[in-house]
Amino acid sequence: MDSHRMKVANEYPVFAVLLVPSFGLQSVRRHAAATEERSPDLRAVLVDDSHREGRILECTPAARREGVSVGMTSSQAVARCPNLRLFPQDLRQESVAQQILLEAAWMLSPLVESSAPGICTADLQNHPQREVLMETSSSSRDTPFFLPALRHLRDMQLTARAGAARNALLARLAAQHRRIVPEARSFLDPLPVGECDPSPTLARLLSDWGIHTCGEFTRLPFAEVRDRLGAEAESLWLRAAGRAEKALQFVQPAEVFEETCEFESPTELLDPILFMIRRFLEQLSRRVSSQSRVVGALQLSLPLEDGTSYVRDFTIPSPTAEVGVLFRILETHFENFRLEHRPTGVRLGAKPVRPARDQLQLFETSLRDPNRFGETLARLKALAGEGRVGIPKRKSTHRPDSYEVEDPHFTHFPDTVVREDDLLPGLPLRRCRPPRPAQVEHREQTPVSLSSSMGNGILTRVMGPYRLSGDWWQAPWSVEEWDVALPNGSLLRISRRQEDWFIEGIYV
Amino acid sequence: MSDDAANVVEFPRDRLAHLRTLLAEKFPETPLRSSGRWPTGVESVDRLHGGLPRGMLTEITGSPADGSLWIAQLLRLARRARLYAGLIDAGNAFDPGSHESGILEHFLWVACDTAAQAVRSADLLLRDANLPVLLLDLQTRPLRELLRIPVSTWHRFQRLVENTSLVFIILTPQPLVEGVRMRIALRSHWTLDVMCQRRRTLWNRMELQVFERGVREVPEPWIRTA
Repeated sequence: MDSHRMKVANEYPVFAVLLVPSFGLQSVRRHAAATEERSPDLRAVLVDDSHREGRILECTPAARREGVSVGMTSSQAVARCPNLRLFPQDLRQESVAQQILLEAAWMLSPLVESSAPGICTADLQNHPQREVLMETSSSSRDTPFFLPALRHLRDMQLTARAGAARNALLARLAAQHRRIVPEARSFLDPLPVGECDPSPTLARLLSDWGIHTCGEFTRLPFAEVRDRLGAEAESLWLRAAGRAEKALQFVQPAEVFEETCEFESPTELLDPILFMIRRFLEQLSRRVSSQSRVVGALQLSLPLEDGTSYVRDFTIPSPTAEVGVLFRILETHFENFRLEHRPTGVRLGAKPVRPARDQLQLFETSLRDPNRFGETLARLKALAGEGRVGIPKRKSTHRPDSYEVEDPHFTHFPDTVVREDDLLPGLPLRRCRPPRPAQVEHREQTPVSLSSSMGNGILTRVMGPYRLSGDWWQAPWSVEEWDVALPNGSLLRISRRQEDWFIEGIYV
Repeated sequence: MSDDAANVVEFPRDRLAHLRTLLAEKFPETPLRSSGRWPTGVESVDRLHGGLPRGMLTEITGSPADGSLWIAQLLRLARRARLYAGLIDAGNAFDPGSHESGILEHFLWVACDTAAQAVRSADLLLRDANLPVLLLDLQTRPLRELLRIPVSTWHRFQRLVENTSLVFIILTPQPLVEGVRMRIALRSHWTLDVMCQRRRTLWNRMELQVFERGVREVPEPWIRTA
């Protein structure tokens, strides 16, 4: 290690923490429809619904000023503050918000721990520009090092604090005070010892002894504290001295980005769904872009009031992070859209992919606007029906009219060479789907006359039979086909399945 | 005499003719601009006309057999020219088993149940303008259903394709499309003997007659494709 690196390793903080205060409350208020519901002056609390009386978990500063505090029942809180806004705790929203927080932390370092709800720790030990941490900004209280991550969180409707220090636990305290802490002692000494999370019993004991700050506590001899007060006090002493070490458990970036919300009541209208989808796409697009990715696929899920869900996957023909393009694809899907039951919420997942950087060959052609083509395909499917728009692929069977329709991915022109020798003989058939029933008279197993909605008469010429069969090991089938000519010049393909005759298609 | 009848102004015939002449001088018919031609591989069409017009409507009329041979040929041509193609099949009659897999990989099939559905699908794909070759196959629908398609549909299609380089071909059982730039009428007599012959041979046996507005007002005589 050269001298500069040694200096950096010794002098600068090596752990950064991003912390979202009132995390549960911020999580549920992210998608609040009205702007005032996201206002910092809103008197709001987070309520634990599972508790019989509705226990208050978090409250805003405005609510606290009205006398509301954590641990009260909701009726006690409303009695103190009549116009209090109650938000039930939503663990799914907290999970989404935690994921967003992690994404912001990955903007600082690839080594990130999800430390607790609303807290992420980033390991900066090998960060090449750690010295930027010590720079200050004239326009912001936060150091420029954290600004992109904090801005990303602000865009996602989350207000966070950041801090850094020589160890992870100290960095968490530093984040609560939005500080960079190169030296622990001067930072910790004036802090109340309560900020190091002592148990209520230990906190009361220290208070009775007249010990209120970390400095006062750490001036007590460590060995004496350990011997007299036990392991809990030992751990608190190390934290208060900034010497508690903790190994981080790193997490990997998610493969799918997700946003979710529940409506207050089931909706019959499309507008609120589209409104939320647009908002989700704005958020997801930013999140995906922050990872230098684009959206390759979307999954829309609408939980319904009967307990089931409507789920639909969308592949983005030309992966993009443009909200307008993504929204049009989903909006197109909702044309002529009907559900048996009313949706109670919306969930939208986005799968990130690397942006395509393919170089087309000199004479290679691609679609002019693949995403617009994707929208048109969705419209065509809505018009003609699923399975009726796409590339027809013959199945690997001799069974007549066996094919499947695949979604077209017109990104690279197929390189298959079609030679003149490969071409099939005869006239191409125009199929009747389903085959039309026909009355056929036959002599010595050969058709001689035909009566059907597509033509009648004595057959002037027949070719066949072409006997086909297969799938004898599971669902056996067999068919006998004939090409026949009618006196009016019509050429038809007819078939016999068991004892019934059908017209399979027409040549002329 | 009613008040309405009293208000009618009668123009002398010569003044009406004069007005028509005046309008024709002031607003001459805007010539349709073609964005080029797409060679078909049919010598008679390519030699005399340079191929199928781009940015214009082309109608091909004839029997289902003639139409399906043209579909196969156009898909092969598009494949060779490395162009994506679309087939709007108004009767859900296209048979993938009658064509080589190689020519199906680059083309979009829209299987419809009615002519109206096919027209709407064509409308969507023309507005999309991503596929450079588009075929609307109406040959398998009953004529009475096709005659119900409003004439304005064809004019709208012409507005959509002009200023693009799309090759848009409408296959019909008989002349039906108004304002079409090129019409190719097909006439062939097929028997069961042809079912064993190579498709190239059948293609060369087909007889056609080309009519192109603004180039040759009188239809050409019937000629062989090769």
